[in-house]
Amino acid sequence: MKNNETYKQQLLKSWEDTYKKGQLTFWLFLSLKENPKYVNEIKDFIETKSNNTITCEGQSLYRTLRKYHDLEMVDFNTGKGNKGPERKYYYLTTLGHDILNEFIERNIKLFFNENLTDLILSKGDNNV
Amino acid sequence: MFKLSRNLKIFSVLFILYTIGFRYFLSLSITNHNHVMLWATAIIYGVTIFITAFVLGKSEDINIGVIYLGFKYHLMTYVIFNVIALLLHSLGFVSQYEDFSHFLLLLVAWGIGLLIHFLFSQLSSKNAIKGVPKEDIFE
Repeated sequence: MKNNETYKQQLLKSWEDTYKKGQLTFWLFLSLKENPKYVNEIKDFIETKSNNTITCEGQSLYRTLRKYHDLEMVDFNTGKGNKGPERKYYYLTTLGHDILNEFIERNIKLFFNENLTDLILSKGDNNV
Repeated sequence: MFKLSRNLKIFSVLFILYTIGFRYFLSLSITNHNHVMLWATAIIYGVTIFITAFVLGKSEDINIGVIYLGFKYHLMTYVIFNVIALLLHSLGFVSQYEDFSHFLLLLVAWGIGLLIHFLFSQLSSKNAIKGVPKEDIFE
């Protein structure tokens, strides 16, 4: 029985690892949709709102933000930091907003379909 | 547009200095028939370029234009090397055994290699947006 549980957790973890790989952009854009944020605020938003299922390193976020800035999906303003140097407050550009909205429309909203919601929330049958 | 990054500018300046030094010792060793010096010069030159390009290339911000980054370094190397070589030749600062045809041959042969590199970059760019491979954008 214990082996079954271990096996299940291994498979689950493997699925989650794969699933999470593509999630960072969505959470990052979502955090910026709320309001402009600096890197630590983005990190906190992602980790808190995802119940710590998505974690990210500051450096990795910086790299990603720089890439999206170069690709014109994200921009920033500089603002005063807390006693330290100036912070970059990132926000979504019009292009970034459009991409996020279309992504949500195509890939997220379908989960709000009533039949699908019921199916997701149900425990399911073991119709073997 | 061909934009020079900070690292590529540093590389270009260093490469100019390396090449002037290389050309000087190359011509000197050819004139004196000194094979040891010739090989040493070539090896030191090659290794120095490799290390410089490796260090500067590694720390490049490769978010954008990664596809063209290698080509840009190659193009700068080609232009600087050949401009210096032709300039030194026209000013008479090369060995008497170095014929102008040698410079032209190198220019053309290397130019073909550069063209092939460019074509490969163009092919790779089909799977990229603004020089970033598509699969790396939303990784």
